[in-house]
Amino acid sequence: MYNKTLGALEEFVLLLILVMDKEVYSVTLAEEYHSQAGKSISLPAMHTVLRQLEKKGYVESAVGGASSVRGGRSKRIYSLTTLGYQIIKEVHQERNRLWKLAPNFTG
Amino acid sequence: MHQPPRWITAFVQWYASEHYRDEVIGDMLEAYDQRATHQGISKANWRYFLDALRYFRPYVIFGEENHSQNTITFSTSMKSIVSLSFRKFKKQPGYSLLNLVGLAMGLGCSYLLFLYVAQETSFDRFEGHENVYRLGTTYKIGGNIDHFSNAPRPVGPTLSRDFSHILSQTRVAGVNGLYTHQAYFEYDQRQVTSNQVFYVDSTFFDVFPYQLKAGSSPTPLHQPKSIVLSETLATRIFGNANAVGKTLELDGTTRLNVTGIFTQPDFHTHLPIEAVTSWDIGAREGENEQWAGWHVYTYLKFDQPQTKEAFKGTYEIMSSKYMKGAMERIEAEMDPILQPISSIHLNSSLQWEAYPNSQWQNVYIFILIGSFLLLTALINYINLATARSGLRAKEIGIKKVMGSTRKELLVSIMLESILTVLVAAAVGLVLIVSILSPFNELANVNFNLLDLFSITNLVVYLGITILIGLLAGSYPAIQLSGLSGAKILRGSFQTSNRGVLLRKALVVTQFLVSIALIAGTTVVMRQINFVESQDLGFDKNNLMVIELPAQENTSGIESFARGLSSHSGVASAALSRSVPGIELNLSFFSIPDADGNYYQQGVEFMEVDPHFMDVTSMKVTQGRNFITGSEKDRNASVLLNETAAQQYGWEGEALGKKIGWGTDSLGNRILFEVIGVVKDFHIGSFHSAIQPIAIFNTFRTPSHLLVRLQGSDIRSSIDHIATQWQEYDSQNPLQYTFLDQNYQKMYEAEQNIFTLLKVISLITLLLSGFGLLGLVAFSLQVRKREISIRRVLGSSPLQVNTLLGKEYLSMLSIAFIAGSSISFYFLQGWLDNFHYRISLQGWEFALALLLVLLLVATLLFLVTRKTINQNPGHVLRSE
Repeated sequence: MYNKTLGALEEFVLLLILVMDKEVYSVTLAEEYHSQAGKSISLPAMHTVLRQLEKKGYVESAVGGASSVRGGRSKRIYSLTTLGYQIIKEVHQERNRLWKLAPNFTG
Repeated sequence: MHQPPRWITAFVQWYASEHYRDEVIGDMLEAYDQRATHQGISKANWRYFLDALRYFRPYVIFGEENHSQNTITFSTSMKSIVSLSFRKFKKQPGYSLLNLVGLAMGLGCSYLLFLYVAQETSFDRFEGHENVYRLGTTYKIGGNIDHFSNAPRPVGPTLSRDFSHILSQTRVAGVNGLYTHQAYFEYDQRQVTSNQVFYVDSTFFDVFPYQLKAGSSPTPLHQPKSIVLSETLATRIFGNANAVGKTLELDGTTRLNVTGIFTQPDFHTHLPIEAVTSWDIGAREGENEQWAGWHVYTYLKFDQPQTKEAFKGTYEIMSSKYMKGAMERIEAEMDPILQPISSIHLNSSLQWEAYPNSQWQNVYIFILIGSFLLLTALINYINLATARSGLRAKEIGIKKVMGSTRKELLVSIMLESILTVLVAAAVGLVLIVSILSPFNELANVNFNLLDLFSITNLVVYLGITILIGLLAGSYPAIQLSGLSGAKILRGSFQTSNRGVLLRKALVVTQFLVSIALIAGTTVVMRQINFVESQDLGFDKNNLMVIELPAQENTSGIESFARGLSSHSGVASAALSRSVPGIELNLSFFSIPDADGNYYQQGVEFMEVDPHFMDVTSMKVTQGRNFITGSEKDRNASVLLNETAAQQYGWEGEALGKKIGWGTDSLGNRILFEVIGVVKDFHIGSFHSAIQPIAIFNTFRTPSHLLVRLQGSDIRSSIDHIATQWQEYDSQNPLQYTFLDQNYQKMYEAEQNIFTLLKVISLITLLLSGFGLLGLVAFSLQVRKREISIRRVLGSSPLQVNTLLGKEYLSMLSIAFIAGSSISFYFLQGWLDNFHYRISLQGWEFALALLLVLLLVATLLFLVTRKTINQNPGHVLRSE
């Protein structure tokens, strides 16, 4: 059974992974986060989040290509698992449901 | 492409685990490149540095065992082993700590003991020591045989001169009497005492390779009135100034020139020296030519190692040429004792040794104990580790099911074992650092931190530790990794009968040694008490012994002594040339036999004044004491102790007999009439029987002043005497000791052994307890179901306890029988060293057994309680 509690950052990152069409790894994710959320996040922090998500089973990773910039080192590419997709979808749906019940403020 | 600072990359490379290293550094490099391009090098460097710091997290450092990938591999990297070990330790902190402490104790203690052994066996092993020997002499006079560690003065130089294969020799003697090597120096109003002052031949440094410091004369002892000091002594006297060329005063009488300084030698020696003077300082008229008596320590340096037989030949040539006359005069046979210099420290205990030596038996014992401790710790570790193997087995089972290869398992078990042992070794080091100073006192050595942590020693220590780790790990490794994974998980963990038997045997051995040691401690304690409560034949309490500097005549010191007696704190005072408790001088006397013919005897003698008997509370049982002022008594009277009277066949009729000592100018014997017999008193320690002693009143000048103090305020009495002394002799400080303290020192060796035994007994007992714990824990685990079934069937906890306990009873009986026999044998041998001793009674061994029994019972009770009282239903169900 999966752990239903999902942090705001974790949720955001999952969404990013869903949305991004580039290769998803720490560097690109951190960049995307910066451009989407306006805030910056350090590499290690992003790396930690990804690891947590992987431990929870929401993402999976595979070893990806190397490049000369990386000194010939390979990178770790992340992608959503079915579970991961389900959970953000669920969260999203729950939010929507509540919003629908909220009073209609203009503006 | 931009390159970030190498050292940061290196740092990350170092701490990051294999698993994360590449992706982390790769990511960092990419980000760096981007930042460098867009934000500039310095910003990029800074960010790079911050990344490196932030990545420093446990999961990166220790890595992870699995990652959600296609294959599950178990990392055998050190990082994962470490984190696994941590977790295991936390899971069973009690047992783990116990194991660790036991191992640490074993490792640390045996390290210390082996260091001791290494030092003790390395005495006098300087370069060329194989050719250096000490020459002692055996005297055979009238049926008495004495072995002296020294030789008559002319022997050394004669041998060196006459024989070309003897390259060099040196004679050494204490500066204030052969046996007394204490003196004080005065320079610039400052007074410094040293206990290691000798006068030596100018060839001293040819035989003993001390390094002379720059500035020293190349031939420092060739000039008369010269002295060579050790670096430390020189600093004590002269401070930081260069000492060479300066003059100091020896014992307030002689001015000496400092001609050299030698550095601390890199070898330990049986003859530690702080200062050596030229030969003329100690040479007294006539003594240098005496071929018998007036001995000095003599060291010979040959061109190659010698055999005793070969040297005997050489010695005989010399003795027949020069020594016949002397030997005839004293009616003695004199034979050489040739000792290789490196063997002296552990083997030699002849008469008149400059310093008390050790014995090789001590080293042997230490080796035994050290090995035993090590072995014990090792066995306990394995025991305890395999006892907890339930947990271990599951872990291995899972690993195997997950696909770990046998090789990986072996490696991981080994590594874990080595890690644990290394940690224990570190803890062990901490332990011994904390007990270093008491150990130094006990074992009579001087280890400091430098010795403990010297590179060579540490390397050996680590090497042995790793070896032990491998050994300890091999047993569980081979056992467990070979079993089928599924089988382990299902729970049928094999227990080999051979293994259990071995472990039982080892625990029995531990208890055996415990019993032996406890019994030994008890016996040593009894003997020490016995010796201390013995009647010495005189009263050694509150007896102050003052060392007198050289006197011109006696009148001055005599009036001083009389003056002292007027003080209320002083009961009486006496002058003498002998002090009880110090080895007496030996000389040769002529004793008349039943027919009136005289034969020679070596006899120990004392020279005292008439007040001596009173001051020491010795008893004159027949006849009378010396009378003050009597010329006859001074020149022609002697007292004998009871043993002497007995030995010469004069029991009851000694009074009036005349013994001869020396000859007068006409060649006639000088005779002394026996005027009294003194009750036997113990001069030396209780190791040897009382010898015949002759007491004279002949001295010209005394060397000691004995003062019997009384009353409750000893301190003020001492102060009073000190003040009086100042007035009497402002030049020399008051030098005194107390007789009971001197006697204490004689038994220092035994006291130390006693304390050592106590400590070792305790440690062994503890380790045995650990050992038993391991065994019990293991068997409990195996027999969990059996116990539960018994409980279900109606046994009470007590009955189950008894059942389990009975097993250990048989083990204990074996331990008791073997342990008592062994210790009985050794203790009897040790007691034989004492002429006056207790006899072994049975209860020492019974006591030991009782103590061990108590320990076992308590342990068993505590440990099995939990298992026995557990709800049997739970146990049976959980299987």
